Amino acid sequence: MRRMVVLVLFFVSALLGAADAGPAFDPRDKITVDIKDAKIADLVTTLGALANMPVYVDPDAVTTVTLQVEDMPFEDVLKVLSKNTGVWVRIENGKLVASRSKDSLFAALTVPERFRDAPRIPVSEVRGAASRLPAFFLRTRWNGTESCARLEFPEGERPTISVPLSEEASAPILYVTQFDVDPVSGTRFIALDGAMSGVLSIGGQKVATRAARDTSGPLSVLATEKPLEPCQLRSVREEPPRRDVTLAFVARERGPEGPGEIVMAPQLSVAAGTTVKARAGHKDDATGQQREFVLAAYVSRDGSWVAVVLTATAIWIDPRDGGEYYFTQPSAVFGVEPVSIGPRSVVATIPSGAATPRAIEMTLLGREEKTDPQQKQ
Amino acid sequence: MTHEEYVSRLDQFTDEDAAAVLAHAESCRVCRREGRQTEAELARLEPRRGSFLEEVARWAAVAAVLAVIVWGLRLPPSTPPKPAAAPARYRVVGDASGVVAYTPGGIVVGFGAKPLPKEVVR
Repeated sequence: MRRMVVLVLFFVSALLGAADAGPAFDPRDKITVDIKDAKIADLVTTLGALANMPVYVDPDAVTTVTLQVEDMPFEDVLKVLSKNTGVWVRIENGKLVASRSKDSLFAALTVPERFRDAPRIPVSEVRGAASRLPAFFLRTRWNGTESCARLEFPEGERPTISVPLSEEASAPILYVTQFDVDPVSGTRFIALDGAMSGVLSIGGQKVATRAARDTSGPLSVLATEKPLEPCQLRSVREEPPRRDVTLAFVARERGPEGPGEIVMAPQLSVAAGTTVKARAGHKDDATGQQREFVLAAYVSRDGSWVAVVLTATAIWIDPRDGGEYYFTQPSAVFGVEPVSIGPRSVVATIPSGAATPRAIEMTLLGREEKTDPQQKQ
Repeated sequence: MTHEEYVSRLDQFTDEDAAAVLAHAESCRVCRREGRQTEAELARLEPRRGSFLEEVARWAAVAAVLAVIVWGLRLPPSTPPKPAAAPARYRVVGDASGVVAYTPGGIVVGFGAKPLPKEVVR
């Protein structure tokens, strides 16, 4: 009998352990790499963004890399990179670090007194923060029909879930996409497409709502992490339409004296109905502090609008305990309509704060659309 | 009497002689007793026959073993054929103009920080 109890406890603990591990990107996950003459800083920053880790590349780690590997664990790719380039690439205290010697030049600055109580998390917890989020609940009311869905967005799967507004076959479909998560506040950014176009940010006990009226009738949406009953688990994911949209963004500092330094200027070819994440390292010339800017966006299924969150990030040391902490400043999306893709639209602004000493403004310069039914990623 | 003499005498036996011998053996008490003893000795050499229930159990066990063998042959292998290894969900491609990672949800792009304008001295 005692042996039976021990066995049952073992299986229960194994199950709980598996659930707790979450679906986060694991450094043992396999990736395929096919690059030629790429800058190692670009490659390491991309790998860091893929694994949801802050990145630091030493300024003298300047070289190009050519590498072809297939289905190799992420950790092993780092080892091969180090061996082939002479730049030591490794995971160090939750950061992806690249340097020519074992000790990188990275030195986080002491957090200014006024930001010591700003929201933050230890750097080592950044990678797993997004995967610890619970499911959230979406209640829709359309033409008097109410339905509820419990939505989960595991990493490594398509982040769009289709939610029919009623059981009728002809009912409109709401496409719900989680396109960004702020690891510090746990806020997630949700794009609504199809039956309604909109952006929601939800987290904690907050309840986000939107209402719209179109030819099919009035529609209201409520999203919250507070459990709603009865709610069905929805996990149907549909393939997006095959249509690519090229978007050009420019993010630059903005001060009283006018536009300042450009901090990132990505030009991205994005499939409609999918998400994009672009990350750029930035070194503050005045203080030497290393920061990162992260652009997360969802491009609508018809390619006509985009939902954007720009986040400034910084690592500071708290002198009270000597720990490295991760600070973020996401641009607000509360009440903001999705931005129609047109010439020179301002898509995100960040005020100065713990993660950026100067305000940042991001502009969408324009787009170019390319439709190819045979095109694949 | 030698063996050859015994064989030649057997050859000279007629059917009447044989019938007379058999008639004697059936009517003679000593012969019948010897006959029963001989049968008992022979029976002791044969395999033991079980009871009716034992015979039924034996045949049922044989049938069960055969059924298991036939069923096992008809079933698919207990370990399914090993599927081809799933391709990596993350594909990183790039060149001098940039690097992009394709994921199930979309694309991920990274840009390194611009290099310092002056030489770094360690």
